[in-house]
Amino acid sequence: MEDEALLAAFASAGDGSVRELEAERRRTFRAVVERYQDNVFRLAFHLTGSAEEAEDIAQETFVAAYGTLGKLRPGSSIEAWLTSIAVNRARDFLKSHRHAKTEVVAPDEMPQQADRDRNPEEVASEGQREQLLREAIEHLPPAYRTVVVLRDIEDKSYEEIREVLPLPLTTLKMRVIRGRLMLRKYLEGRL
Amino acid sequence: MRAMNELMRQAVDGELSETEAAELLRDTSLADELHKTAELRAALRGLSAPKVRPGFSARVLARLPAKRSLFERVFEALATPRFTLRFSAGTLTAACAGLAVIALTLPRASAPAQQIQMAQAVQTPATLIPAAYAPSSDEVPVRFVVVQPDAKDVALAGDFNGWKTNALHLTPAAEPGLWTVTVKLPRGHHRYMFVVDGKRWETDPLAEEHHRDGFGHENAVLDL
Repeated sequence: MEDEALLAAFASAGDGSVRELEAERRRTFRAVVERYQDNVFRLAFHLTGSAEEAEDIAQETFVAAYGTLGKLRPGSSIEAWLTSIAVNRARDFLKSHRHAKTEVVAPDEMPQQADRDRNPEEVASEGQREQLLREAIEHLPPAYRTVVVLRDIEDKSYEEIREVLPLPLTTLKMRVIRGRLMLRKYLEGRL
Repeated sequence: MRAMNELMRQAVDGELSETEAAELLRDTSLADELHKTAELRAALRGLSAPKVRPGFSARVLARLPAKRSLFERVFEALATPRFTLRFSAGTLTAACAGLAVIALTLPRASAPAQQIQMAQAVQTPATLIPAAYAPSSDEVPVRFVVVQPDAKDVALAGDFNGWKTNALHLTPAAEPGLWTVTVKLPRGHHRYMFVVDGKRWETDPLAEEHHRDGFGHENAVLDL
């Protein structure tokens, strides 16, 4: 069932009693959850670096979405809307769990030539490399982490990101640039 | 530097034409930077993530708030306590003392007006209330209260004092017409009556139980 059909089904669910309406809405909403649960969970995982936190955030995202799903305009993207909720939930989580590690990387410092010349494949296996990438992402300040995850991991376009994060386009692009530089700085000292 | 970073971003994000990208790559240092950033982006795009655990949708549905009818919401609002009392030994003692005070003032402050007026109209002794209660004690203090606005004297007579009409006298309370006396009585079954002005026997209409006395009256009964 496409987004349009799901929204229409949810909005028109049940013409009978309150209980019938609720039961029908829940059936439709289950279809929404099962369609988007992997996307929302994956996004939450990349933002938090924790499967446990990702499960909580993904659950909270859908619970919050349930209350307002019927108010979405026809033609709205359910995925963008869920992404927006998940990003906000994850950002709240990151703010409450911010630690000193986020201050380590200086965005304006370029990598050293000696580090650049090293071949990552010589230093770390693929698994270790992935682990280092996750560490690097976790070290990004939340504002940079969000845009890097959305742009480079989730492969969202800048316009799609702006639907989630209402930022000026130049600010958004600058955060992507700086976020990438921070990641490179962190990784090139370790690979 | 800022312009160069933006140019590199455009290149990594695929926003440059082939000609523009080729021009950028002529600078070997820039080409190296571009290569590193592009490599990073490719690695990020290839990052794996665990799958959501089975039963996720059921767990979400279990967390959804139940939609209730207006009647159910109103009923819950009325039935939900707004505060909780917690008692320690000290506060429990204080609460009992407070309840005793309330009980003592009940005939004046809380008794239904109709009952008070009825007692006054027939000039009948009104009530009997245990003033305090000690479960482990053999004797229980009991406060007798009666409304007799026209009486000059009110006495308490019962099986606990040999039905003497002149042994236990009630005293006027601050409230006009109200007479009271507190006595300690042994636990058990007691019968009693009020004696107004030394000659008129009046039962307690608010007693929980009455027994006929064989002389045309009904004794009030008190079980302690």
